[in-house]
Amino acid sequence: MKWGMRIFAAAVIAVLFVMPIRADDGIVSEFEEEIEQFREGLPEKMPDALRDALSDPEAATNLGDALTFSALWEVIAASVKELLPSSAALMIRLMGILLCCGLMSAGKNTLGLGGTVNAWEVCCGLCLSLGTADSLRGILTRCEEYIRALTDLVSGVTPIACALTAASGNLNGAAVNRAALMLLYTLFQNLYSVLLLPAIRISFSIALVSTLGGVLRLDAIGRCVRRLFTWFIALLGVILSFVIGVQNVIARSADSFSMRTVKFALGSFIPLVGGALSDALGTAVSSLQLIRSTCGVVCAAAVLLLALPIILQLILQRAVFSLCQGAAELTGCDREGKLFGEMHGILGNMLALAAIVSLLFLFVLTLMTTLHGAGG
Amino acid sequence: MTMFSAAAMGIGAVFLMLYLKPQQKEITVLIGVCVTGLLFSGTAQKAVSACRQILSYADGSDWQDTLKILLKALGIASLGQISADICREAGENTVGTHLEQFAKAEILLLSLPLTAELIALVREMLA
Repeated sequence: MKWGMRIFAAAVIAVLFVMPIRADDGIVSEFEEEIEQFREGLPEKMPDALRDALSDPEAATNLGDALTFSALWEVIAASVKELLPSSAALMIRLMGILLCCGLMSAGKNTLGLGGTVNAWEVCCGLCLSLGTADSLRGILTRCEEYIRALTDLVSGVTPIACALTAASGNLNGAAVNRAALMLLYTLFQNLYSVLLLPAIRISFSIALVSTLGGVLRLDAIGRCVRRLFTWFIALLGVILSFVIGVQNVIARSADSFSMRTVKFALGSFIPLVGGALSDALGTAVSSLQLIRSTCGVVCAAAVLLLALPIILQLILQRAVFSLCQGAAELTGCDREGKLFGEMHGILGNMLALAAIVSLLFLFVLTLMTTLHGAGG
Repeated sequence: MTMFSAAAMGIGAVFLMLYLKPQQKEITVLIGVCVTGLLFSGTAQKAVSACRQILSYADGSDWQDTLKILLKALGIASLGQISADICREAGENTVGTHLEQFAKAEILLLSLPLTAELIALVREMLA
């Protein structure tokens, strides 16, 4: 009986040795639902090769071919082509009104027109304010949608990252990772919805109202709000970089420790196959790291492709307002020039917000991908 | 009306007014009003065709309404200013000032929908 058991155990071990260990396939199918949800959240302009890399390990090895300079350039060119007509239309519209305004103010000075022309200038200022407000409102909505899409992507990628880290055997790393990601996610949501976007809206409203003129000099308040906004964004960037750095260091040390513990336990307490399982664990961890880094690359590309249209649009609109400001100064429309200057500044703030949110998300991804599995 | 005929009419009227001023001052005012009216109608004719052309550039675009308001306000401002100047020339400063005020009120009334739209936008932003 005893010998029979021994022979049976030896046969089982022999079968285990012969069986191929493919941790990646099992893990991919295990998280298929999460990965599918994540794929749905990816931007439309995402190259197919990047989408496929999430579920196909062979496609993952060819990521370098998908992320070439020409592929990115094609996406940039398509975005510019899409955005350019609306920016050009806005510029023509604003320049037209500005030209009328400039002609009238020139007539006012040279022909001695007075009184009624001032009323007409107010009308002109209103038209310009509405023209700029329409475009700025659109871009503000797009900016909000972009930030929402990014936070959705964070909420989509967090369970995958944490499950993969936990599945790779380092529970400490998973816990630290999850805590850091959730902390950042909540912080983002609160910061952009409670503080940063309202600050942009307030300065935008102040800029619009200040064009109506009158006794109140509201533009100084607008400048103050924007200065505070810039200062806060810079502070946020510094603090979060520090927090992420610290979390990364803690997670790394926790992972190395847990890896050694797991390897020691496998090697000491399971004779014969313990060493083999320990090596298999290394293979599994490598597979998991491949999936995780693939997920990281796809996420980074997703962030880039999500950020690209909004950043390009912000840059184009800023260029339009900058040109209009120059034209206003050239035609002697100082009040209109100030309005364009304010809008230029607000767009700069939005650009900073979009850039810092993208960067912080990339930091989170870095935390996810550089946090080594049990492979230490 | 060409520029040459406008210039000839203007200079001729000025000479006539200078000749008549010592004897019949009232007639000179009348001549001044008539010539100004004629010149204004010529200017308005040209302005209307220019406005039509400008509006045709914006045909079908979303800022045609804005442009219409602007051009209408421009017309009111010019008419109000010229009328007020004529009144002042005739020595009726009070009438001129009130005409100017009327034109300003008309323009502000015209831009009231724009102001309402702007206020609504600001309210929406701050909501």
